Amino acid sequence: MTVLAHGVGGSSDLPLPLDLVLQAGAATVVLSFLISAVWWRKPRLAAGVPRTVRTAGWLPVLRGFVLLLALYLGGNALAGPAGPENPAAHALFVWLWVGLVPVSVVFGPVWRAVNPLRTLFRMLRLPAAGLRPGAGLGVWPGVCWLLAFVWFELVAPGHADPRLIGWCLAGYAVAQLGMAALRGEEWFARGDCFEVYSSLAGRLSPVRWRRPLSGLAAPLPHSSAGLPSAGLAAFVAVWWGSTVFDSASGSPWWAGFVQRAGHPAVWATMALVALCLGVWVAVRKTAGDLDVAASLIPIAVGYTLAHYLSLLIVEAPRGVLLLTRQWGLGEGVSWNVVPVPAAIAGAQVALILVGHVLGVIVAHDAALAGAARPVGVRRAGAVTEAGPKPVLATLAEEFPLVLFMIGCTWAGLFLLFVR
Amino acid sequence: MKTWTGLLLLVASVVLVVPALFGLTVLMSATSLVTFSSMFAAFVLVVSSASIAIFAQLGVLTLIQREPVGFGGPVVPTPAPSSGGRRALRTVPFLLAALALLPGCTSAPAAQAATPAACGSASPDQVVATAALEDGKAVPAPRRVSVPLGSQVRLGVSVDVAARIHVHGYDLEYPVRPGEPMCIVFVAARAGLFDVEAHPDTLLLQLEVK
Repeated sequence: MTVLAHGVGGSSDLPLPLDLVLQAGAATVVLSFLISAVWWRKPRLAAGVPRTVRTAGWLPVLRGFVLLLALYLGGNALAGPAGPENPAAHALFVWLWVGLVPVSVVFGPVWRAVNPLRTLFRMLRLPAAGLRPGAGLGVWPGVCWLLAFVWFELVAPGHADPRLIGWCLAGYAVAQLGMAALRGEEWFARGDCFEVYSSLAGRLSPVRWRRPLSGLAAPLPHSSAGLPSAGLAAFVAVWWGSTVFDSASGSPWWAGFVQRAGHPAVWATMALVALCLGVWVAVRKTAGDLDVAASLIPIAVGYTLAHYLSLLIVEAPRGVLLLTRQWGLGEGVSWNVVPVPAAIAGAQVALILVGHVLGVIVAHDAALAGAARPVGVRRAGAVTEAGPKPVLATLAEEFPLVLFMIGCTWAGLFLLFVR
Repeated sequence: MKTWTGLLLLVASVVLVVPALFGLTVLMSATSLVTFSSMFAAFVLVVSSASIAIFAQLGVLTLIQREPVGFGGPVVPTPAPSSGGRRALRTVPFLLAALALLPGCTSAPAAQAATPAACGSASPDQVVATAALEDGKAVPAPRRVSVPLGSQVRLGVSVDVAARIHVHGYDLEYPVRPGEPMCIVFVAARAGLFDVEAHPDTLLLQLEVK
């Protein structure tokens, strides 16, 4: 059997059946509207208080384990075997990037709890408050790092080379630790793209937020420090846009275009950046006054899980096998699970549509909550209170955003249909 | 007044089913998504299904609303709906852009190139696909070939520089030399969408086994 030549094998899902896509999509779009109009007429999602997930003292052990694993994998990427038998690509692209989403959706912001960079920061006794504390540019550094990471994953030539991965990880760690020493430990919460990613996905966690969806109604961080959630919206846009790019660039049409045009990396870079930028501008333009980053999270999570579902099932255990094989264990073991195409297709459609419904509900609730606040200026004695806005006006304000969400949902379904 | 507005909205949403069905039928029978007609059908489908939902929603809301809202009441906050409408117009370019992102897909098998001599003639139950690597490009352009699950595939490949041909998923990899076309015959026993590549990364075609 030939070893994988691409580091991590590509998706082999069948395109979704068109009739399933169209029927399910249309039904959900109509239903989500009717539900939000008829049944959801008052803001119901109140910001709850996040619970601390009890780890019974196991957290330091977990932190130590993740740190050791990260150090081992990083060192192994630099000094271990240089071929595809090195688990570095699986560890970075499958375990960390894809695996972090389902784990965070269940348990909350796990990467914040076990981030090896944070552990290293504490062990090195760097100043927790930072040498020059300040909010800086808010979450924007995280957006730039995320864009750099998805470029490396999806575009960079030789991105599966363990040596390259090792050097990039080492550079990332040094840059992050340096910035954290300058800005203080909370830098990781806005500068380390994996931590931002995990904390955004973690807002869906039922373990951390007891009342369903209350995590999405809670105010987003960094939005109070004079920086509206533009940065977070950009983060979600890069997250969603890069997944869309990964989907679209697997099509034969894109391959043919790049073969004829030449310079694949340049074209791919341009397409990736244009896509992320386009999504971000669309979000900003359609949102108006509404704060939309929170309502886009379920859409991004649903689409990411749908797109990478079979990759996670097939490749994550293969990474473990690669790791154990280095130690001489499990030589003859192989993981050749072939997911049933029909089950995968059903799960993909369900994930995208559930994400869409949750997104519509959260956006609707935020709009209602915004409308319920008195519009007029309150003065003592004077009755200048304009009262709450009528529901119809709220819906009209919300309309472009919801139209944009429908566009996202249809685009996601169609992309899985063509891929 | 309110009742009429609500009924009008509901009727409008019912009438909009016609363009939605039109878009649906065109899309179902289309062979490719990148043609103008199917793009247009997709656009009509998206816009009309969204409008159905919104009209139905507004209609139901107007009919069941007790207190005067929006339409016809004495205290009418009219600016909001109209600005909503203007904003809605602004979203049209983005929707168009989202649709333009749909990459190509051909469900009907494309015209087959001449089979390399090495492949011989195919029996009726075999699927024949050929591809050539010329000057770093796949000729004909990369496309998707439909293969029924369990049938035999005869894959003819010719190249102009030495290359390794890799059938993903089945993990078949063979070296091919220029001037010596190669025929890869295998049984497509695994469902999925698999790339056939000339390594390192020139996509020749995709096999859609189902």
